[in-house]
Amino acid sequence: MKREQPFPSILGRVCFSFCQTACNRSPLDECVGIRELERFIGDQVAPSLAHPNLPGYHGKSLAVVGSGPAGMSAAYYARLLGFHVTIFEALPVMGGILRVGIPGYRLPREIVETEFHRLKNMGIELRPNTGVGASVTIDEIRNTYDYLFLATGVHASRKLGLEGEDESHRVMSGLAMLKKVALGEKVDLGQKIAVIGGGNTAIDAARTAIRLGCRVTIIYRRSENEMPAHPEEVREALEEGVQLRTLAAPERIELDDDGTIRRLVCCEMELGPPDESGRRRPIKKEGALFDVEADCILTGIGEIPILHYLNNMATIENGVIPVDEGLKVYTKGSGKARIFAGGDIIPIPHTVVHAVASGKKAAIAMDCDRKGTDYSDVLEEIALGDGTAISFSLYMGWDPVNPVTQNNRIVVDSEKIVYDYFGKEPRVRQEIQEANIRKRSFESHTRTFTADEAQQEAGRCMHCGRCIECDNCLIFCPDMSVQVKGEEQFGYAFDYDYCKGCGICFTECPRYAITMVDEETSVEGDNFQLSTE
Amino acid sequence: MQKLFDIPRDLMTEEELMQPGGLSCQGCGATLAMKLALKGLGERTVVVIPACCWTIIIGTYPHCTLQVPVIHVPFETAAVAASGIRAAFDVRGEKDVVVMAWAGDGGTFDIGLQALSGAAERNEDILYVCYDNEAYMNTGIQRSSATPPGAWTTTTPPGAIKEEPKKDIVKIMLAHGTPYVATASVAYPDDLVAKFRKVRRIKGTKFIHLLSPCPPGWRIDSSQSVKVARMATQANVFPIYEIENGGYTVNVVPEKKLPVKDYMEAQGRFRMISKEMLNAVQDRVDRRWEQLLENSAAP
Repeated sequence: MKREQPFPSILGRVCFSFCQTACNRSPLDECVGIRELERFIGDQVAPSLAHPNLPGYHGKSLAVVGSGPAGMSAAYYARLLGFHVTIFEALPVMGGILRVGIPGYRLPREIVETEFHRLKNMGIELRPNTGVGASVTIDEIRNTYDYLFLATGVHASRKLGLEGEDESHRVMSGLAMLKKVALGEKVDLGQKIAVIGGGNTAIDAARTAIRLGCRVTIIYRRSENEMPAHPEEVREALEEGVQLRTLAAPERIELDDDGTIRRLVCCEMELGPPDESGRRRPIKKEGALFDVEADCILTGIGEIPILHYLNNMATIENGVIPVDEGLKVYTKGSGKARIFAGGDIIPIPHTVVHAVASGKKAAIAMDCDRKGTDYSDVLEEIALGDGTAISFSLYMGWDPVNPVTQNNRIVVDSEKIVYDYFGKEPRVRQEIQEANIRKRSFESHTRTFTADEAQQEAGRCMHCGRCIECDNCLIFCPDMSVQVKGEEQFGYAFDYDYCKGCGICFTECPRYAITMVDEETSVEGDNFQLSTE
Repeated sequence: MQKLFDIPRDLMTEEELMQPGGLSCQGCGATLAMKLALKGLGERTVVVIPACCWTIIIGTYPHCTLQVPVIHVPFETAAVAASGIRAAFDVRGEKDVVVMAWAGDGGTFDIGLQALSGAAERNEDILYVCYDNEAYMNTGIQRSSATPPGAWTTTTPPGAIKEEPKKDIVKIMLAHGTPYVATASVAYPDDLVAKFRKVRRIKGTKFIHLLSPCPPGWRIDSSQSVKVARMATQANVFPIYEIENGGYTVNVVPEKKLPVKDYMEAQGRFRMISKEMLNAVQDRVDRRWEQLLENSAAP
C-alpha cells in the first residue's frame, strides 16, 4: 500500500475520502469505509520497520522546502528514487499543517512524529527551525542542491475586509489560533467566540475553542448545504455544542479603546443564483442587521500562500505558482537547481490528499528530468483511470499488488456492476466518543478498527474490475470455452476456437473483470481479454 | 473466496458430458441448460430428443456434442419413446439409468402433449424436460402455445400479435398426479443443477419446465440472455418453484420485484404490446404469484 499512498495512518484520519464518494457500493447500501481501512493498515506497521524498497543513491540531491504533506510525500518518493533529500522547515516542529493546523483530536501528534521518524530512517535529512528566507536564503539552496521542491503551503489568512479587524488582539485568524494551540502557546480568547467561515479551518478553530472551554458560534454566509467543510466534521462540531448561524455575514466590528470587541454587527443573507463555484451566491438583505455576542472573532474564510521568500525568482499568478504538467515551476534568474512545486501553493484543491499526490508526481517528474526522459510520455504509461491519479508501482515496473483490468485507464463505474449478485451488508463504523466527553479533550476521539472489524469491512469490497474467481463465467458459458487456469495460476483462460462471442460471461461478470473488445478493432485479433493475467 | 452460486468448483471443472462446438446460436439458453442439466444428472443418462433446436445444436452425424447416448425421435413421440427405452433398461436390470426426454416448447405444449399426457398418466419412470424458448425457434420463430401474450413472432406479426395467455403446463402436469413437477431457469444455475440431481432419486414421472432464452427469437443481444432470464424471475413472470407430491416450495424469492414492463422492455419481441395488454399481463402475473405463495404456505 505504501507504494502508492505513503502515509496511511495520516490520510486514514484526515482525508476527505474522495474515493468513498466514488465507491460503487453506495447505490447498493453504503460505501466501503476505505479511509478507516487505510488507517487500520497504517497503524499496523511498526514505527521502526525498515522500508523494503530502499535503493542506493545516484548522487543527485533534493531540497524540500516545507514539511507539510506535499513536502513529506515528495521527500519519500524522491528517496525511493535514489535522491539525497533534505527537508527544510521554518517551525521548530515538522509536519506543517498536519502538526500545527489540524487539531490533535483529528490527527494525534505522535502519528505525525512517527511518520517523520520513518522518513529519517530512510535517510532523509530533517532540518527544523530553518526557515527559507530567514535562516537560509532561497538563492543559497538554489545553488547548493540539484533539485528544489517548494511546498510551503498557505499560512496567511484572507482578511474579512472590515474596519477594525487589524486593530484588535481579539480578532485573529483561525489558523493562527490553531498554530498557537498546537505549539503550546497561550491564547487569550475570552468566553464567547464568533468564528467566521464555513470551511475546515473554521470548523477546526470552532472545535478547538470548544475544547478550550469557550462558547462558539459559527457565522457562515450561505446555508449548511454549501459549507465547504466535510459534513461529518460539521455534524460532530454541532454535537459538541457549536452553534451554527447560517445565512449571515459580519458587517462591522465596533471596538472599545482597549481593543476589546464591543459589538459584532452581522447582516442576514439570502441565496441568489449559482456563482462560478456552482454554489448559490449569498446576497445581503439590506437593513436586516443583528448583533452577535463575541469576546473574540476567529476568521476562517480561506488561506493564501506567503511567497515573498522566493525573491521574485518564480512566476506568480493570482497568488499561486503556476506549474507545468510535471509540476515544474517557471523560474526567473539563474541557479543550479531545477525547481518544482506542490501542495497548496500551486493551483490544486487544498486538501491533504491532493498535496500528497502532488509530491508523488513531482518526485517522478524530477526523476524523469534527471534521466532525461519526457514526463508527458511517462505519464501516458503510469496514469490510472480517467483522472489525475498516477501509479508509482507502474513507474518503477514493480509487479502490481492488485491485478486490475489490463487497461489501467478503464474506470469501473456503478453502471458496469451487476448489483443482482451483491447482497446488502451494513457498514462497520469506527467507535466514536460521546460528544460531551470528546469536547473536553484534544485526544483522538475515534478508535482504529480492530482486526475483526477491519476484516468485516474489507469483506464488503466488491472488487470492481478485479477477478476473484467467483466462477460465474465458468458456469454461464454455453460453449464450454471458459477454463480454469489451474492450481498454480489465478483466473480463467478463454478458448477462442470455440468461443462464439455471445458475451454472457462479460454481462454476468458481477464486477467487470472481463473486458470485451471488438474483433475488428482489436490489435491482437482476440475478441476477449481477461483481466487476471 | 466469495462464491455467488452454490456449485462446487469440481463439478464445473470435471470432464464435460457436453463438448464445445455445438451448432447453437450465440448466447443460446437451451445449450447452457443442457450443460447444467448434465452436471446434475451425471453420465448414467440417456437423452431422447424430438424435433427441436437441440436436433440441430447437437451436430450433424457423425459429430455429436453430447458424451451420453442420444436418440433422435419424431416430433410428437418424446415421452413415449422415453417410456420404451425405460422399459428396455428395466428389462436389463439397469435401474440407475435416467431416461430424459428433452423437448422444446413446441414438442411439449403442442405437438408432443398427447404422448406426454399418456406417459404421465401411466406414471412412467422418466424425466421429461421442456426447455421453453416460447416459440418454434428452430424453424424460424413461429408462435406456439407457450408464446406469451404480447410477443411478436413471424406468425403473430405486428397488427396480429399474440393475445392468448400462455398455456399453464405445470398445472396440466399436476392434473395427472405427477410426483415431481418443477420450474428452473438458466439464470439460477445452482437451483437448476440441484433439481436435476434430485430427480435421480425420484420414482415415476418427473417434469421440469425450464426457461431458456433465445436471443434471435426474443430479439435480445446474445450477451443479455441470462440477464433477461433473471429478469423473468425477478418480475415473477417465471417463478422458480417445485411441487413434490403435491407440496409446493418456492425456490427463488426475488429480492427486488421488477415490474413486468421492465422485463418486456428489455426484449424486442414485446415492442408492439399495448398498454391494456401489459396491464392485463401484470395483473395475471401478480395473481399467479399470490396463488403460488398461498400454495407454498399451505401445509
